[in-house]
Amino acid sequence: MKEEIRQLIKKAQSGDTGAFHDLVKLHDERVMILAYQLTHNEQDAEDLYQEVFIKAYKNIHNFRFESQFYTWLYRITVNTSYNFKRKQARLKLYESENEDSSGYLDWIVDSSNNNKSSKEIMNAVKSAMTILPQKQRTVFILKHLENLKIKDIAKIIDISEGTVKRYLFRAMEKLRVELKEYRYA
Amino acid sequence: MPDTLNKEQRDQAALYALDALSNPERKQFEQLLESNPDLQTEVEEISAILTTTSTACEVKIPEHILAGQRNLLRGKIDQLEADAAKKSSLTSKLSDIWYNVNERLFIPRQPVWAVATYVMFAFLIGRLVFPTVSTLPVANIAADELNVMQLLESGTLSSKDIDIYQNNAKSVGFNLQARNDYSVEGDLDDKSVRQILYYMLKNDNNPGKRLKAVNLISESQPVEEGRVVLISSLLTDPNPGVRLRAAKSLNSYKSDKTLREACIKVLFEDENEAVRMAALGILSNNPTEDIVPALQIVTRMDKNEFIRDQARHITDTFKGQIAVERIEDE
Repeated sequence: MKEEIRQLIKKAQSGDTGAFHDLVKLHDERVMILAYQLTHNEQDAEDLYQEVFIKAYKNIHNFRFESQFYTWLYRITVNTSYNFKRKQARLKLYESENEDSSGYLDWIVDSSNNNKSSKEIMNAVKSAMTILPQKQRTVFILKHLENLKIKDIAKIIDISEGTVKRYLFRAMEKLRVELKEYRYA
Repeated sequence: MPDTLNKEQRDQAALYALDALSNPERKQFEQLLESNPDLQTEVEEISAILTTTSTACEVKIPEHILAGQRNLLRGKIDQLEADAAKKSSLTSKLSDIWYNVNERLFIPRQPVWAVATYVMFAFLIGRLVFPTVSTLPVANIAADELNVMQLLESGTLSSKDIDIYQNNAKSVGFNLQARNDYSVEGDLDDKSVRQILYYMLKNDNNPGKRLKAVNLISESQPVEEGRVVLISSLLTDPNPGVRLRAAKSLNSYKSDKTLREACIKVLFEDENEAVRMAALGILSNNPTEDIVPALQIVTRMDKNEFIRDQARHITDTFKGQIAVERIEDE
């Protein structure tokens, strides 16, 4: 952990709100991206962002420097996202009614220049991700999109490393089937 | 998917492609990979799918979204801190009171105190068992004849005991529900009536009553005291309907720096779009140069397109009068 972050955490733990806001500024983009990947919805991601940092603010005195600060924030993000099931159900309904989910696309980087339209691929990937069970999806996002180590993912989700690996290859099996026609897109 | 591979090999291939194998596992797998073309095909297929997913899921959060969320978070944390400070001060006050009561009453050190304590307990129990008839006057009374404010402030009457009713456009009445029922009536422009309405707007827990109070205040003549109460409600009332009504009522008041600053605060912090629109409406009635920098932030940060456009429209009226670019640079 960088010394700067360590000092900010110590200051925040002693009640320095300014230091806490500095910590937010250093980490919030990663948290927002993860929140977005977990919820697939801008509004939910913003709500999740607020809830995560309020929880972090209330519990920062419990941070024991045993892990990276961002993995601690990720743990809060993942746990809090599990409370968004109801909203995700609403999202599914919305998706089925409106395939052109433009709100979803606003934050997506459109870097595709292949023959399949990027929108079609995005929708296919989104749809494939949403059929994954919650924990498989979370593990897949943390490993593949956030590049976390297996042991960090195990700590974040509070499962064993073996279970993380099991979730990963099960997620992969399902994604292969769902995205078969897009694999070389 | 090659059929010659067993489940374990396929799982290992997936973990290899995901970079989820440990160093020894990876080395072992790579040795196997070199000699097995089917396994190579498997890894290639999985890698292709992973590339597709990572490309499709690449996310970039616009900076203005993060800035807006940070501001919102700052406001929430300030509120948490204020609540915590209030709570700790209340807790210390309560503990002081408890300490005094404990010291003086429950542990009397002298016989005279012991007797006084028992007499007081007996009195309190008597009050609970045989409640006295309220000393409030009965029947219809003009608002000026009964100082309701004094009763409210002394705690004899609470705002939850008051119901508001309106006789006609200008006359308003209050049913006071103590141990007996009373009603107090008066003109909306009576000072005493207005004061009860201000009290209810600021103190009543029932949002319906606060809404009624703010509606009646907006029908009375605009006076400075009412303006202050409405600004306070606009900034602090937890109910968006009450805040919205307060903002609309403030339209009939003269705009000054305090009101403009309150409206800007609402534009930055209020989560309700209708309230923000109403605040912007107040600013647009009599726009001044000092609001331009704040409105420029609104033109970029507000989630609502209509509000952004309206704010831009107001700032455009000042183009030529001030150097907008300079403000942006600052």
